[in-house]
Amino acid sequence: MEPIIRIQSLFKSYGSKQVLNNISLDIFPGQVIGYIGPNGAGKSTTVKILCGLLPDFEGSVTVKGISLREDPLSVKRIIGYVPELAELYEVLTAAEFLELVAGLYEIPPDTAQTRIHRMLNALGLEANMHQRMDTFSKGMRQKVLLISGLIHNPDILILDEPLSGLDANSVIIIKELISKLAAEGKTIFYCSHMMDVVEKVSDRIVLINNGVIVADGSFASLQQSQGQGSLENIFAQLTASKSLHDAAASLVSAFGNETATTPDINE
Amino acid sequence: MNKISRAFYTLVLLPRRLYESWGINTGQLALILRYKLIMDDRRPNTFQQTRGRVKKEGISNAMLGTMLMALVMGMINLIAFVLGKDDITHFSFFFLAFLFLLASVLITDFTSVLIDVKDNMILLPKPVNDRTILMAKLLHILVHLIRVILPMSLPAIIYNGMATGWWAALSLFSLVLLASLFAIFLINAVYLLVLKIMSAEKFKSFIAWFQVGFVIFIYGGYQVFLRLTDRSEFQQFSIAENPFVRIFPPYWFGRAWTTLNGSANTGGWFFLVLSVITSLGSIWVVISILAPAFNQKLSMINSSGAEPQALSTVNYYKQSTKRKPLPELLVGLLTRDAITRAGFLFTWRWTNRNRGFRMRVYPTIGYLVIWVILMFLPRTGDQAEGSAKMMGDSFGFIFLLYMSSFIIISAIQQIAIADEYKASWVFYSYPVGKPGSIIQGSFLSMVCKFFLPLAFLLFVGGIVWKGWEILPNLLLGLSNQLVICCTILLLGRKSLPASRPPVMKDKSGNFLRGMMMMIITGSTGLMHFLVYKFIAVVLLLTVLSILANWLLIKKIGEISWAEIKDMP
Repeated sequence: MEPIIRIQSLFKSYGSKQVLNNISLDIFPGQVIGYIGPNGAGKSTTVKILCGLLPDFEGSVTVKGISLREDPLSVKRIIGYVPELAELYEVLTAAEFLELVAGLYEIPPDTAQTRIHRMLNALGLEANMHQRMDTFSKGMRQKVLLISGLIHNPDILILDEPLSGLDANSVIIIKELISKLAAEGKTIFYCSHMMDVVEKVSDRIVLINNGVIVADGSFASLQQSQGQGSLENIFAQLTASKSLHDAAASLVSAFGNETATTPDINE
Repeated sequence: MNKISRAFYTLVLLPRRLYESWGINTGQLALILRYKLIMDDRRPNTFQQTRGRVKKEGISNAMLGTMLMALVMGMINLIAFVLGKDDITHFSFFFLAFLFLLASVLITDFTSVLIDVKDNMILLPKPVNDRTILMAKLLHILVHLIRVILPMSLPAIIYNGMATGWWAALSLFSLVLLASLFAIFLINAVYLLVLKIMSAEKFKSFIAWFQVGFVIFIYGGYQVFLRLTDRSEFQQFSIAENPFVRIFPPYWFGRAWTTLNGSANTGGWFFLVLSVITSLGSIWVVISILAPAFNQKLSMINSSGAEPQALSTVNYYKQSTKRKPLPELLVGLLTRDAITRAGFLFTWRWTNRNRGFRMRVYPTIGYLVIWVILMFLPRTGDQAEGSAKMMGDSFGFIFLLYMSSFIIISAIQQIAIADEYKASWVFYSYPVGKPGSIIQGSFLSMVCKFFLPLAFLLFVGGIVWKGWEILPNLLLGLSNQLVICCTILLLGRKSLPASRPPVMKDKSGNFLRGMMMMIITGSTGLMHFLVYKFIAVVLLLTVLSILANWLLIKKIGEISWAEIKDMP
């Protein structure tokens, strides 16, 4: 089978800091990739390159056979992206924002309207669709972002921490959504720090540390190579340089033997 | 979208065919522009307070005020029509003044709109090409600018219509529009060219200094040009006598008008064609050649607020560990409680590193540099004699003394505005009894950063220039500067530092409001000039002024939560 995303020898640096160091990855249609790694490992940089946000990388990235460097617009039409930080034009209403996004994907207005209504309805936001988003909770914004990534029915969905700020019920919906989309043949690139969710939803886990892939395989195969245990334990084993228990202990002991525990603001 | 915006929106989208031929997706262009204009009319809720009610979208007082100020500037520009003996001189001066005002408004108020990276995460992942995004940004600026351009050119258009006829007015109006396009696209072309050859990282620091430099260049050129012309010959000379003026665009537009109004010859037609080609040509260059690199570079510039400092230690901490850094030394001397101290240090560091703040405040430093240069510029002929007789050079010194307060005033007015205004939750959520303490710390910090160095220069410069006898007047002037600043702070809208979102529809007024502030400061200076020679009065006023400062700064410290309008 032809890979839908092919990343070959990908390098990226910010000034003197090398963020991605020779990443090569073939992703196949219908796969749910759990892309995990500690903070600063290069996850978001990979995602930004895939979405065409960072054009100055070394190496090659092709999506459905289209070179990202040569034809970024065609690649962007195939990809749906849900960013980690909820960047939204908050003074717009949810409906207005989604109309804008649909327009940018050049979806005919009637089709867009129907989709916006249905999708907002499905995520329980129909009552809020004409409210400005600066009144929205974090979870509501996240849902709008999710719709904005799905509205053009993309073949590939890139999710960067999609569960952040969502309540337990919404988390169930999203997890369900991921499996349904995968069943329909969509490819999901899922970045997260929530190991239990990654463990459950992904059929392939790619662990990146310091810009290098340190593990790649199904959860079962990772357990085989790294010893039985949760994904959290495997993660810590492969990426933590010092004892995590010591860090917590040092934090608590930071107060030391101070006489006053709260700062006196009127001194 | 309000009615004015809607009308201009329709207007700027008229040449669709032309845009399409440049590779712009006009559907997406119209969409982005429409939503940008809708967003401009809605003020962000500072702390997500009012529930989803869409605000009435009308014409705000701020916008009317801006238009009125532009109208006043336009009336002042009518002076151009008494300079020199012929039309070519009149119109060259008119376009000189017009382009100067427009370029200043563009550089001080709209650079941040063009270099806005908030769109990155929303627009760039969508299939929109670079030219479309850039054109949307430029048309967005143009729509806002028309509100300034029209009132600014209206007096001249009416004057010429009444003096010469409707064709004179119509041809002037068309040339004004061309000149506006020329200014907008030329300035952007400079930015884009620099962005193309420089790394994004360097560009960030370049842009603030470019603003200062460009303001010095334009304003300086304007002033020097006027000064070098001998006043006694103002009504007899013709600009066309000097062959060098032919290289300046205001002359091209002036010549284009005279060509359209009766004095056509080969040279005239050349300048008419040149005006049209440079205006439309600069648009073509910007969109076709420079646009592709623009968004790539923008995406490399981090979000518009703070610049990434994570990888390198901030200079502040690189200083010798034995000696305390300057702000900590100052904060120890000036503040007594922890909250004022926090406000002081926050403001000091934030203003050091925030690009938006620098972009709004640094250009004013450029104006001051020009004033200083002008003070020492030798005057010629009767003008020098006349001005010396009329005022004496004490006036110049007082003028400089008061005008320099413009820098601190501008800093104080901008300190509340921040793209990352939401981060000000820290001030609201911590146990702070009176927000005045934070504002006082912030104010003192601005005084140390923008007032003290300048006061020192003025003090040394004043003593060297005028001798010790200037001391009482010097002290009064410096103390009055602070009184003006405190008063502006106390009478204006009180806000915590970095706690208010920038609002697009008020933008075009920044530069013009600044001009008005100069007039207020100038009139205080004039009153000082009237008592300049009466040393006893000056001494008495100095004591009163210092006392007023002490009371006013204390008063700033007492600002209560009830007075903060942006409270959650």
